Amino acid sequence: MKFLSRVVPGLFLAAVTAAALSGPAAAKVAKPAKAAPLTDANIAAIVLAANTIDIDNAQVALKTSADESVKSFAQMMVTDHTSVNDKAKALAGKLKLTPVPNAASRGLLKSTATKRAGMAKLTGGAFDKAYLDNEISYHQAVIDMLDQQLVPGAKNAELKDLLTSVRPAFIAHLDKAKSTRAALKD
Amino acid sequence: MALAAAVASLSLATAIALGAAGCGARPATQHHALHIVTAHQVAFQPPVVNAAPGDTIEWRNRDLVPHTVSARQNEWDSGNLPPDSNWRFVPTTAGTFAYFCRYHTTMAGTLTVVRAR
Repeated sequence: MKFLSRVVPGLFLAAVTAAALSGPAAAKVAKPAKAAPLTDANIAAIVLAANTIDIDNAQVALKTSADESVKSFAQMMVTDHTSVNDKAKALAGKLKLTPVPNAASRGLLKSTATKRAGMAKLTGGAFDKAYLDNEISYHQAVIDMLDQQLVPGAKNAELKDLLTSVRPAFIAHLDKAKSTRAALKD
Repeated sequence: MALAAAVASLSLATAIALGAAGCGARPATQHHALHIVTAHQVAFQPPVVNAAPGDTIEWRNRDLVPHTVSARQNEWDSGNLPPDSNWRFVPTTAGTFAYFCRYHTTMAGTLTVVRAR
């Protein structure tokens, strides 16, 4: 359950290689001093990947969960992250910025696919808890990434503004995930 | 904040009142104010609006995500308000209306409607 939360900060703090995806040692493998700085094109790719991941996670939840509060949360994730992605794509088009996939964005997608496959084997309350636990750790990791890497690293002012503007929504998602998880019966 | 609140409350009546009735008092009839509330970064700004019956309150979603403007007692509801869209409401009765976003329930505001003297 904590896999993603361990990997994601490692990825973005160091822009590490695919080797960093192999496990909890990611942060130890990463050497920030050697990490190439993220370009705006890299950041755009990361933003799109991060939103797409949560949309896909939510789609699994909508199909799997029978809990109305979990489904409501998942629907909010679909709606909000789709909206953010639409904005990000529009801005990228306006800036003639072609998102460039990088180790971080590819790693996010790859590690999440594995995680999601495991989650899809769960049902009922076990799934609900796993989904929400992952949402909590994932949103916290993305917020940390925004604060530590993406916002400071963005060169274009409009891109920086988009990244800054999206943060409160992610905080709201994190809070909602926590309250929804707390309300589930153990 | 005071400046923001003042700017946000754009009185349609003011310009007319300045020319026709002098400034200071709200015109007794016909002229109503336009109050603008912006939804941005998952918050309503200003969070409190004081209006009179017949005034128009316009909510502008300038956020990256959809919102709703929903009275807690279900008196009125904007429905889905996508980014870059607006919704107007004209209260006809006095009262205090707490409202929130159904999607992001920490977003909250208050509309107070008081009859002009």
